[in-house]
Amino acid sequence: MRLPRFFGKKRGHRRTGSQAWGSFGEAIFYAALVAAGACFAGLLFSGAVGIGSDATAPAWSRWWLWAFTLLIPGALLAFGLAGVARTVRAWGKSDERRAAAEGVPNLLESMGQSPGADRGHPGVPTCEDLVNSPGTILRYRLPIESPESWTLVGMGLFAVLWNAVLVVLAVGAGIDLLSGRVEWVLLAVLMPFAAVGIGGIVLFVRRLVLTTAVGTTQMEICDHPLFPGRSYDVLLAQSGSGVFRSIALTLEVEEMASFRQGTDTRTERVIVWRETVKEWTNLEITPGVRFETHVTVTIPAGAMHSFASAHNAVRWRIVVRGQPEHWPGFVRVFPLIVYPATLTRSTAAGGLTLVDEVRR
Amino acid sequence: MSEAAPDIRAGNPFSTRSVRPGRIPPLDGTGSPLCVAEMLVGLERCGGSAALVGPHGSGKTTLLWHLADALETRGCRVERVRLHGGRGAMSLIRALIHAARGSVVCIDSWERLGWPGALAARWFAALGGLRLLVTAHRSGHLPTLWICRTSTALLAAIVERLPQAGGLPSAECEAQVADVFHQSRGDIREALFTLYDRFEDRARDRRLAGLSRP
Amino acid sequence: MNGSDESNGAVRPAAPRISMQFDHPLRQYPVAADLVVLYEIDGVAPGSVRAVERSVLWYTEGKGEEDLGVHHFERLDDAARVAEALPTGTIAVRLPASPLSYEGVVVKIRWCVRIRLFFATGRDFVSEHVFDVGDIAPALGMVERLQ
Repeated sequence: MRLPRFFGKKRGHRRTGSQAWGSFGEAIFYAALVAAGACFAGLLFSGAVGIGSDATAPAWSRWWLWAFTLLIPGALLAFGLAGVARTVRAWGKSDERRAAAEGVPNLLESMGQSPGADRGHPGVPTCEDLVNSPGTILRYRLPIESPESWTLVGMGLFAVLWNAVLVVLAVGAGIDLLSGRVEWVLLAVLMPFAAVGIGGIVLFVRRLVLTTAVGTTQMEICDHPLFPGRSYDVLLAQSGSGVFRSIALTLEVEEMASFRQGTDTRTERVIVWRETVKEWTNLEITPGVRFETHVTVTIPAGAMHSFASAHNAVRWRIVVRGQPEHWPGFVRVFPLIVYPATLTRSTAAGGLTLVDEVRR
Repeated sequence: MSEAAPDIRAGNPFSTRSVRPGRIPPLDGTGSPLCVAEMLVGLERCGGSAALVGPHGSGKTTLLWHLADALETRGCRVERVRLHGGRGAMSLIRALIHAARGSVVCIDSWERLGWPGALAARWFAALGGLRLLVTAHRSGHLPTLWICRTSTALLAAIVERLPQAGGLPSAECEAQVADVFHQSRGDIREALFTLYDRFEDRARDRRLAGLSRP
Repeated sequence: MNGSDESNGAVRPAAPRISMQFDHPLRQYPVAADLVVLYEIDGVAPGSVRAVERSVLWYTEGKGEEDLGVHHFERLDDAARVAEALPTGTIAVRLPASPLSYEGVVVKIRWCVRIRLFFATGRDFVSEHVFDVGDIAPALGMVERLQ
């Protein structure tokens, strides 16, 4: 079952600290949402937060207030419980295992077990998931390995919902204060609520500014899958605003090996080959005008093809590393599939055989 | 038809293929072979259910699977369960349901059950006349059959038993093993991974040296 | 060459010896080539083997759990067929296009021919011989370890 995810790491797949502490912190955060939802629901039902307090008003005029207001603690409880369940389930697991377990398309892991083997090409992932998005200029648009857009949406939703609850509580407390009543319980709940609400807004705005300033990176490629010894036209499009101290596009080969023994689950990921295809320095990007450039990417002859099995993988990827001025740097990964040189394309996509193409 | 040639690539002696539990014979904390028969007698003395206790990478799983093999050789029915997340829990439930009376259920990573799960598993096992042999990081509700400890001597004894004796030059072997053991803080699994990396580094250096020769 | 006795009996008589001859120099095969292996089994008493398994497979080696893919498998447990397969025999199979043999840093891919003998006593003995498919250069080393 895929559980909704509203918050994610800022820097994609890289970790800057302990995974265990990170998971613990995440669990605490979601638990706080659960607590907030339960707390608010409790206040609601106990009458601390009044709804339609005029007892003489007909019941039908109050039902919609109840429905609307219950949505808020209900949503908090849902986010919080989903997050706690997700964190507990993913505790101690590698990113790859999490992605596969949650149904988020970890493209290469899901491909490693399927049609490549059925077609007599065991161990070679298929590239169906990489060729189902057409490009605007080149043939295919490459998906990014760790999309950040959902994180922004999640942060925004959280900020809106949390602060909506905060406003309701604050208004209630204000009305009480003006009428000379001091609801100490309400005020005590309001303090941490306000802190979290303000924090949520700050984080969301920061993320929004970062996304707007740094912009999105898009990659298109002229063909897929790739073959050793051949060159491919790649389009890099970077949006944003301001100056980028550097943007580097590299072609890399990553090996991944996962090992499970006892309570230890470890996944080792190493880059075994890297080539800097192109690097730009002091690049100024105008808001609303994407920086677009074509580069040629060559898969070396005799290179290893993409490989995926249950616990091991060899992956090709294009990586864009950017260092904007005044903002943290980013790393965006675009997976590729490289087939063995002698594999016929008729079993991949396109209906051509590689040998026929070479003769032409 | 060509003559049989020697293996082109001998491989890294520290790969999981060579060091995974079951590949290395059971050794005690000083590197001496463990007598499995005596341990099985100890298991009977514990009432048939017991735990193998020790920190990370101390050889608990290795010992568990060796004892499981020995029990099977003696005609005992054995169920093997590795607890890794949801699937592991399902495997345990299936094993407990399907195991015949008198079987031994060998469970790796007992702590993953948590105390409610462990309690339920013990109750179910008692109900079904099953015996439990588990690995755990700490002593708990099951009697302790063996405490796994590690030492430099143990690591050296393991390396000696690997293909090519670990490929370590004999003059440096003792020093390297001691260095890696301390670096890994006694975690034999970590130490073997470190030795894997060092072997790869040496192999790479040899390859590069070969490539740079005219 | 690698042979091992995987039984758990206390007393182990001398292990059989299985030698293999490959029909390509240095046991290096191009993709989709025909693999022909002639094997010879020594040290096995006539009638002591109740079954023979012959397989061609790939497996991973390195720091991760071992994965394997069986390309060719045959089990001979009929007395007549077992007798035909001993003491010499031939394994002939067309190799697939993938995966290619690969000497990586934490992931290696090996191809091998494996012969497993099952004895009437309940013991079994396995011998495997590695060969190469394709001509992929070994990885030169680790550039970066990702966290």
